[in-house]
This record gives sequence, C-alpha cells and structure tokens, in this order.
Amino acid sequence: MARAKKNHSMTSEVDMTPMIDMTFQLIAFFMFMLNMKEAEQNEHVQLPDSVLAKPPDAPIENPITMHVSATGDIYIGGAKTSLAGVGPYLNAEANSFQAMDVPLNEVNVIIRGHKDAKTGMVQNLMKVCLDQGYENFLLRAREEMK
Amino acid sequence: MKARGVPKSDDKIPLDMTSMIDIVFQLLAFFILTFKVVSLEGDFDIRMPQASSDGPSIPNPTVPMEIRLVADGNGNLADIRVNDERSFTSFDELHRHVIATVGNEGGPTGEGSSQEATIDAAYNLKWSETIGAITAISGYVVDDSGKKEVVKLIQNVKFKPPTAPPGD
Repeated sequence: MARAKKNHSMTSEVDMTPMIDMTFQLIAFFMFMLNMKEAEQNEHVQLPDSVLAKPPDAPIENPITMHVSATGDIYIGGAKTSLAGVGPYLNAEANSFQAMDVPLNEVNVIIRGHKDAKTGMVQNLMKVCLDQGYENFLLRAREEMK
Repeated sequence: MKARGVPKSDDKIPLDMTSMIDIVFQLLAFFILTFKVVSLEGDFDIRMPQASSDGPSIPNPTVPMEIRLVADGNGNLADIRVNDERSFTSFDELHRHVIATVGNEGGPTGEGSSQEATIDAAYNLKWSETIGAITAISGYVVDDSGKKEVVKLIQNVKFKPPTAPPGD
C-alpha cells in the first residue's frame, strides 16, 4: 500500500511569542532592580548591621557621601584619599553649596564606615567635617532582619 | 480588472525577528551580568551643632547620659559604663537600662525622649560596636500585627571628641 510522503520543501515554524514575552519580562525585572545608587556603594566598605537602620522615606537632601574602610582609608566618590585630603574637598563642596544658597547646616554628611573600622578614625573624619562647618551626620548601617 | 499588489486578507507577512531577538538577548545578558543584590541601608541621624550657631538654643533640662565604651586589645567591646556609675557587659543590658531611665514615652509614633546621650568610645573600638551602642539607646522594633514599628528612645545622640590613638 502506498503511503503519503512528506513534502521535504515544507519548513517548520516555531512560535517564538512565549519566549520573546518571557525575555522581555526578564529584561523589565532586571531594569527595575538595577541599582542606580552605585555611587554610594564601595567595595571596601562592609556596613555594620542594625535593626533600626531603615531606608529613608524621602531622598536625602544635599548629601555628601564618604566611606571609611577597615584600614582607615577614606573614599570619596570612589577615589581614595587621606584625612588631610578631606578638608580641601569639603571646602570646595562648601563653596558649591554657598553658591546655591544652601547653608552648611542643611547639608547631610553620609558616613559609611566599615564594621571593623576603628571608631576613632570615623570620629577624626567627623571632626574634620565639623571644623569645616558641617554639623549633620548620617551614620549608615545595613538593615538587619530579625 | 484585478487589483495588483493588494495582498489577500489571509496572506501572512513574514517579519524577520532575528535581529530583534539578538538585541534582546544582548540586553538580557547585560542586565544579568551587572545585577548585584544590594541590601537595604538606613541612617542614624547625628546632629552636632556648633556652639557658635545663630539663634537662641533651647536649654535641655535633662542631664546628658554619658556612655563610655571600653575596648579590649582587639577592638571588641570590653565594658559599657554609663555616667561612670553603672557598668554593663552587653548592649541588651544597656538597652534595658535606657528603657528604665527614659521609659517608653516616645511610643511607636512618638519622637522619642528628650534625653541626650553622649558616646565616649575608645579609639580602637570597632565601628560595629559603636553602631550597636547607638542602636541600643536609639530604640527598638516591635511587631505590630505583621507591621514592624520602631519605638524611639534617645534620639539626641552626640559623640565626645575623639581620643588619641593608643600609643600616642
């Protein structure tokens, strides 16, 4: 008995729609989860934990972020500096804020200290800030889940 | 006469999806490779106004609580002394002492006590221990039917000027 032969010239079509849908959803997920505050992170700093460290409800106004590593090195905007180099930087920032009519008591100095950094080193950094006229400090910690 | 160039209604127009899928996969690869899990962070607000600040200052009738943090040779916490009278060995004890002193007057929605605290930490004390002390005196978290609320205690926290490093 003769059987019907398949036509070899026929091309099989794969429905790509679900795959494209899924891929777009994955892209959307990763885009939303993308950390836009990369400038506030530093690979040399591992923050101490605290149950009271809650993310702020509103963006912090007039921030200056500084990092203190476990060895006492200070990082500003990814660049390593010393305690002596912080003063001129803060002075330049103060001039910028004054040009924008922002008084220094409205500037928030965010200090991200490594959990093993010496407290005295962090305090020395705060002292330099105080000497330059900054008086509001935000000591950053990582939220500890209980 | 038959119209030319007009497709029949059941004709499919093939779209070449290859280039779009290529780009989409490149985007996906980029986002996957740059993805970094970041834990949530929060801040402790420390205000240390200068003595020469303009405007009248409001006198605080309460006596500041001075918390001295003593470190051992490795920078770990060795002792906690409050006003040089009481000595504690853990932050839990300090926390209970603060609650007994200032009470829970702040409550979950309150602004905390008007009590002022000054931290006098040893130079070589690990920063995590100092943050632990600030946590112990600043408040605690209560679970209110699944929603976590922070009960504030002492919000006015200051630091004593840094001491010289050991050996100087």
